[in-house]
Amino acid sequence: MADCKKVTEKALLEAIGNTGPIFAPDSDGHWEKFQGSGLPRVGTVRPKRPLRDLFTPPAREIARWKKHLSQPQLEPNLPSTEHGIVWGVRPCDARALKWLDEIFLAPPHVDVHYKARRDNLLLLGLACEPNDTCNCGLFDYGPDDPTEVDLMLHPVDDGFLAVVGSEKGRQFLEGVADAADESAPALRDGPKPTWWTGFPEPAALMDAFEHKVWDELQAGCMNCGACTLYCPTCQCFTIVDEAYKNEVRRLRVIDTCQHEAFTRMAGGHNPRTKFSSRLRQRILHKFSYIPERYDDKIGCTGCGRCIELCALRRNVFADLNEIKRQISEEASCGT
Amino acid sequence: MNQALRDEVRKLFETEKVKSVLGYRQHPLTGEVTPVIIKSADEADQLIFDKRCVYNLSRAVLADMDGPVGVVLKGCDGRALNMRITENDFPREHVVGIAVACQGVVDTATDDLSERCQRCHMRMSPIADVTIGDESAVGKPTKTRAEFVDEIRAMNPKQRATFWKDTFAPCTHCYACRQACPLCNCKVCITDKNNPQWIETSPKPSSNMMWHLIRAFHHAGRCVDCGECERACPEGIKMHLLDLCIAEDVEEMFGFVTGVEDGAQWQFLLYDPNDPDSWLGGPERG
Ligand code: SF4
Ligand code: SF4
Ligand code: SF4
Ligand code: SF4
Ligand code: SF4
Repeated sequence: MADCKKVTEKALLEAIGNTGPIFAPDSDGHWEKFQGSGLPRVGTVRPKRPLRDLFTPPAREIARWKKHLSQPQLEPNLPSTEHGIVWGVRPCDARALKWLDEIFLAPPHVDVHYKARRDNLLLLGLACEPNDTCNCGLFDYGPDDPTEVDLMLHPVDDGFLAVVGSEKGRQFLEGVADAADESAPALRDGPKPTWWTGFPEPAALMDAFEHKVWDELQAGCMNCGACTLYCPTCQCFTIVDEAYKNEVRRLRVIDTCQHEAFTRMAGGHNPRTKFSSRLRQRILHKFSYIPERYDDKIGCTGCGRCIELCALRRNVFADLNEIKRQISEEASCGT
Repeated sequence: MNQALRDEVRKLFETEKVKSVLGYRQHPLTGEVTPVIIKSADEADQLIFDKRCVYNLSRAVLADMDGPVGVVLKGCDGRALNMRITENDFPREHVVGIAVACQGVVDTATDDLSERCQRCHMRMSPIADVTIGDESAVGKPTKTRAEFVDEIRAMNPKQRATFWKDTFAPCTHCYACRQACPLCNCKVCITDKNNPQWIETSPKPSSNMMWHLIRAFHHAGRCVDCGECERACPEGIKMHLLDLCIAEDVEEMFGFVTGVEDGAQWQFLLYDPNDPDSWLGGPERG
């Protein structure tokens, strides 16, 4: 069904060269412009930093102005017009972009930087070898899902099988020399935990706002924020002005609901004073508020970064099952 | 060990010595060792203690918890708890120390004895209302703290400045190291103050240096070398080396070792009208 062609590494590189620079994860798992030659070597699953860094980076300048002028001249930071290729995109990260589109491309407040990147970067997916924190199977897709990338590449001897994911991808593939038609490889199921009992209903989660379960879960979270700052679907930011030698720069900087200062108001009042209220926010936002507000969307793609990076070995899906168990036990007791 | 621990905890609930207990369990679903808070004797059977219990639970004790709170404590955890009590985070009666004979915990990535345990000189918690396991079997350190910092201390100031600048370069200001630390107990962290803004929000060499120097100075004479800051860092930054260098200075210059002696205050936190240093307004040094 899906269009698929076999391409050689050499022909692929040539076509990439005609499009623009390559962006890929470096050896520390950060998304960078690739400086080497040939194709970048990347791991077998998503890198440490989420793909969103290329589209909405952790710190981005909005504008700058010179200090000490009576009429400061604002110099806005204009969106990049550079075209390029993103190499090594994993299905979970690509799906996360699909969700971020709801936030950053929704009129009337379209984020022009994000939009420019979305328009100008071609997503070349790479089929993964899942690790034990990968959970894409929970969301009914798997490690070689082509739907949210432009092309999904499967490494084979002396090249790749390229499965078309979008019209943009099809056009790019037409520009690759000597591409021969092939039948597309079968899609693999994504991994999911054996103990999984299904997502709690978004509305039931919302009703459990005052439940004791949040306090029970609190001991296992120190609100370090790693789970959110590295999550591909999290999008919160703050705006700050920072002083440089002769100028001031206004920046948009990544932020996290797991930190106490996130909700602290001028004057000191804070509606989320407890550890449990912050971990509840993370879970409710992803698994209740988003599905309730945006049809069929969910604020998680199962990438598993939050599990891998949590120093307290917390697993958000185990939490969801525990919450679900407690809610349904109570419902069946009629309390 | 696990049985003795569970029996003791059950007894603590039954004799109403505790209202809740912070401990470790193997998560029934994921199999990972995670912190847990239990509220009754029936739940005691999930508690465990072994070399995978790396987290410092003294961080999880909050003043507004329904006390007394039992806490399973390794040596480093107990020293941190001792500091928190000394600093009036909560009264001594708020906690019941369940000291476990610690043989060291592992680095979860490699399964080797973690660095902090190789140099740990106090494996039993100084806060010990009950003791679990054989205190005499805890073993001795195989390394000294000096072995980890001598190389840095031997550098000249310029080399050292470069070394720290490079060490802190990947910092993203996520503050996971702060959240993990039991002694990052300020009501409002200086990173969260913006009038004036001491530490700028975005990562860059100047703000990285500012954050890490302030962080380390705030831990002078307070850090217990539990290593949790470094373990929590998603970028794998070895920022705790600076705490170690300062701890070495503090012991050398002031003879002070954090959290060992009950109620012993670190000199920087004390005000004494008879302080011999004149700048505090005390008598001139004679
Ligand atoms: S979660 Fe699935 S899509 Fe994401 S890296 Fe793992 S296997 Fe690939
Ligand atoms: S990474 Fe773990 S400890 Fe840190 S905020 Fe997330 S759940 Fe809590
Ligand atoms: S919540 Fe966790 S598993 Fe889900 S997308 Fe975010 S980091 Fe990935
Ligand atoms: S600074 Fe690091 S090693 Fe020292 S007490 Fe805090 S978390 Fe533990
Ligand atoms: S945990 Fe690491 S990256 Fe985060 S603030 Fe601390 S040193 Fe920086």
